Amino acid sequence: MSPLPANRRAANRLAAGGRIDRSRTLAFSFDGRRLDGHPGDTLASALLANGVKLVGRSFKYHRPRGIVSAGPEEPNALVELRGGARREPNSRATVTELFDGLEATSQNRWPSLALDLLSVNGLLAPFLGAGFYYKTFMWPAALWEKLYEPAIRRAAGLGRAAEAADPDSYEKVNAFCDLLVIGSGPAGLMAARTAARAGARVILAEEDFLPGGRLNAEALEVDGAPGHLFAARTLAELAGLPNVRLMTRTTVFGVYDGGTYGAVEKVSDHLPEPGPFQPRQRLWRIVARRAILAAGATERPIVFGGNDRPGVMAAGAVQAYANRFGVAAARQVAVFANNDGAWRATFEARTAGLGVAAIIDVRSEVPPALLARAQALGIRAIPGGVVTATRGRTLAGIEITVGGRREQIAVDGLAVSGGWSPNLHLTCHHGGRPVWDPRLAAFVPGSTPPGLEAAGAAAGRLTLGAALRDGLEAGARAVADIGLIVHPIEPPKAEDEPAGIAAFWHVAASRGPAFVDQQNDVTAKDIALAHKEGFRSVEHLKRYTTLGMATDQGKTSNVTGLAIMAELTGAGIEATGTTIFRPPYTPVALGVFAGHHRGREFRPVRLTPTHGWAERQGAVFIETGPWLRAQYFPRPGETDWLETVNREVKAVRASVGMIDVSTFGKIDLQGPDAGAFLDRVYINTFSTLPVGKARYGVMLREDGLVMDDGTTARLGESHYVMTTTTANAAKVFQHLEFCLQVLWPELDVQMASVSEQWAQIALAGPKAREVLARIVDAGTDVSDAALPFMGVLGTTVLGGVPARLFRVSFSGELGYEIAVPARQGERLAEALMAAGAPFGITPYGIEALGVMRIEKGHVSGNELSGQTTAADLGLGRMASTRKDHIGRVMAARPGLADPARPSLVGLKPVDGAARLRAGAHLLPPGVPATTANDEGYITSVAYSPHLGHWIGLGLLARGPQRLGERVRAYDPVRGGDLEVEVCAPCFLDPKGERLRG
Amino acid sequence: MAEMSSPAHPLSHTRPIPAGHHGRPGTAGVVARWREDLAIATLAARHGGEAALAAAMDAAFGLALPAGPKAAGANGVSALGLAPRRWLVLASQRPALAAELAGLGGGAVTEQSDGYAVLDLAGPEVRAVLAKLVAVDLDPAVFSTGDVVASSLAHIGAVLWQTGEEPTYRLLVGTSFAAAFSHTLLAAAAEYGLDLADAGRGPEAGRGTGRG
Repeated sequence: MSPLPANRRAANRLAAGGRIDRSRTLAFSFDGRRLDGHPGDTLASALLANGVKLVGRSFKYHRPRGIVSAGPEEPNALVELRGGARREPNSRATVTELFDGLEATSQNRWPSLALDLLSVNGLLAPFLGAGFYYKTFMWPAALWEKLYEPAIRRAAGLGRAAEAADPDSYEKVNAFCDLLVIGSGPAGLMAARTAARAGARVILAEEDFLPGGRLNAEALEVDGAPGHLFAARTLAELAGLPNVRLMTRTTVFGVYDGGTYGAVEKVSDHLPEPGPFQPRQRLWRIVARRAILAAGATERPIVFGGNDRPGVMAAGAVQAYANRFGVAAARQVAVFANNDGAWRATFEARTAGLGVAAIIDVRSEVPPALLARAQALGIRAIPGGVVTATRGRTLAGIEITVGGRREQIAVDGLAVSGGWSPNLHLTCHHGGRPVWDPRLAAFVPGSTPPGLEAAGAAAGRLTLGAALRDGLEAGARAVADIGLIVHPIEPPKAEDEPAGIAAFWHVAASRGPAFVDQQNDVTAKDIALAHKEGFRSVEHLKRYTTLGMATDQGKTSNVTGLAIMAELTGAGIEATGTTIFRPPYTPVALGVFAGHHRGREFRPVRLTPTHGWAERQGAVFIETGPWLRAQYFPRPGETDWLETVNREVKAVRASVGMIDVSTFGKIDLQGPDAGAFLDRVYINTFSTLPVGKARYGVMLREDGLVMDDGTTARLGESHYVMTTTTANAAKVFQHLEFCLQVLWPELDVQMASVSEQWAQIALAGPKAREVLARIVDAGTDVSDAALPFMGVLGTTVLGGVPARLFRVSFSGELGYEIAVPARQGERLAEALMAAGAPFGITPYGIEALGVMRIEKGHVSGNELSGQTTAADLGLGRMASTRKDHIGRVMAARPGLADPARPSLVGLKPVDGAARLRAGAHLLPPGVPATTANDEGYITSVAYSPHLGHWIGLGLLARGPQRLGERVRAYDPVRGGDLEVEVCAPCFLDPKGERLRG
Repeated sequence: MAEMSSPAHPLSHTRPIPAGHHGRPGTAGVVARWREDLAIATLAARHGGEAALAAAMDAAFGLALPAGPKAAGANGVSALGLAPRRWLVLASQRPALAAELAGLGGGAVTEQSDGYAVLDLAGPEVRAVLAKLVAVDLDPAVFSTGDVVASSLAHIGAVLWQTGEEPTYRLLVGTSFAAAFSHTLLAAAAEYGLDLADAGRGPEAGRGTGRG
């Protein structure tokens, strides 16, 4: 889109004023219509400048809606931004920074915004009231998912999410400061300046792209000059200080533990798309010693019939559009208010060039100074009046009632003010409950999260002079609190403008639907219905009517809604109380929480030392925890994984194979008490293990269940190296650290993880020794005598590479594990391949490893499930009775010592061709498949190429006593139901002759 | 992170990013170099052996073992405090470091030269990039030259040591994380530009870990 000449002014753009750059024009589109705005505009201000008043349809009744606010509280003006994969629904036009080429589309309408067929819902409004869904879609339950939910979702919905993957990137950043100031209005600027001048590290976070808050939106003076100049001057000072970080477009959305704040920075949302190498948004994790919430206040509406007609706006928004954006939100406005501030807003709008028909104030008594000023500006003042109806497709006129007399007034804008609610949301994030202040007719912060204080309007100091002073004082308190010296600063001179208010919520005697929550289409009548049906507490009111549960979280509706309920119950607002707020303060894109951790980067991948070698061998990889491991090594012509795995298993058992087992946890233990330490953490004894030998060990958790298993070798008198399972490597290390640091600090043991230091390759099969002999350096004897079963040898391989040889076996074959420094892993793999070539050495993956361990009945992760005892796994007799160890006492609990507990057995299908499935439940034959009859389940299965059928391991009640029995393997999830025979868990070479060969 | 890679150089997540310039063109905000020349060992004092070990380290290397999370170095050997009575010792061009340390007596020594992938980091934006990776306050008033922290960088366990005022840092991650960490570093540094130099230690450099 090429912009129009800069000299053409949009219809409702005022001739002068505003913090916009009139020298440049930005072209954008709304529902395909091409429009212009200026840098400094929001989408909302640019739409209003172009006379666009109808911007969306409401959620439930599809009522036409316009722009209500000029800030983040906006309930109505939600649009879809951008298109394609970048389409983002429910974007608030009031905080969307205009950029050249912006495309916005109205949402929740069909077929078009002007003609919305679903607006017939409005005719059904009498039936769609509070609790409608609960009452109507109760039964039949079968229709919930098939009919009701899809139909409701199509009709309701808040815009359409993009269907393609998000093309943008997001990232996370940590920041630390002495003082976090949230909001850059008068109080925030003063707090930041005071703290910064005292030398504190300050972060000033502002969600708007233009800092300054109300100083930009109102025509107030500070130190005798326009407020926005004071803001600009203060910001320039802060920007020049090295201890200050100014963050615009950054919303602090949550308060977490320990002074941690979550904030989202919209880095690129004001651009058509992020620049090269730029993220779209950043998630900031800010740790602040102190924080000041200077988030200002939000103007509340007054509820009356027809109050949702496009053209009805917040009075402060009309003021902001005039002052900040140079936009007349309407040509002729009326004002409906209960407070002095709205009068001042009106005067400013009039001064900026808007026509003002009348100010209708619910109060009969209005300060004379305001009346005089109105008169001077030629504005008709109507004290003691209310608005009782509105008319027009977009607002064309209002009906007022004053002194029992009705009158029509023709206006195209109605500015409404029911007073101001402090933006105290963040003070509630640790459970703080706001407190009602009847003088302000507003809730003010109650108890706040530790280290956080509210200041300025957010603390209920609603007038300018008070906010400036309060910010200064809060900033001074915060830095004094952390020990910095604050030099006295004179507060800037500013007036405390008139701010009188009389609480007023709802024009009960008005005509037409009166909306409390415009985003969720909750009316005053819905609140009356909730009251009538007994849903009177604020929590019930919220959930029954959905008041405040839309994306705006009721920023403009909560207080009004509960005030109406308080009127109905007669309990008063203080006794009625308020719901509180959780994070996030405003919606946050989920992508920013993921940051870079998505897709392949979801979590860091760990690669084995032989990964590159395995890739070259054509391995198929599988994730096991964070590791990528070779699953199997297919060869040309093999058509499925099972064929490959069968070949690998047979090759190992017939000759020799190799697999990288570096992923096992490896822990180096040294010190005079290392043996004694191991005796306490393992159920069996290690202090008696001879130097140069390894032993299989089982360790329990304190509760008596098995924690992990593995072999531990004694390398020297006071030097052991332990292996753990891959899955439990970190957990075991942590456990041992706990034992040494907390349980037995007197034990002189030094521990280090060497999981990363050593590449470890298992070599298995009848030819393993012959292969090994070819890679060890001259002089190393690997004969059965020199390196017997469970023997350990430190030596060198491949010409001087330090190595540890462990004669251990998981496969049941003659086996060795060879450890070399990690960088030598690939060299070792290649050397083994070369040395094993004459024997047809076969690399195998973890599938074949699994098959062979099941054939041997070795337990693994599936059996070490955190629910099994050593006895359950057939390892009970390993436990030494002559020493204490972790878990010993608790393992003797009756429940854990029950001989009827499901225990490890082997299982084979009676029908040899049948496939076993892990997870199938074991039942006695001929009984119903009920939980009461459940006797255990199958933990692991494999196809055994040696036996020619499927085999399994399982946990079966009294299993070891039932060898030869037949039980039923029942698998309702996959429709399996077959007979299996119970057998010993070791299917191959039960005497272990092969591994001792 | 696919958007960070150019079509000409698709980045495999199972390999470290290649040496060269990545991310924003122009002068790199971060300059990184793999170190393959370092011998590394953990050193832990036996109970009651701290003083003897400290004296032995002083005598052998002129190095005062630091108390707390600090680094101390002399004569090309540095000791980083990782935990009470536990240090990580690094030395360049000293392949027998672990044996030398073991020879001192008084402490448990564990060879770790292959356990860590080591990166030296410098450049004007290095602090800003590390802020994206580690939840540690790196402000010079809090963390300065000689400070060490063992922490988690984007879910990867790491040791971070500020080696110089500019600032410069040395970063150690587990060998198996080298590829993953290089991708994470690029993701964080791309907006400033990243120059990565390989170790250049001859044909065997990086074998087994795919680095360099």
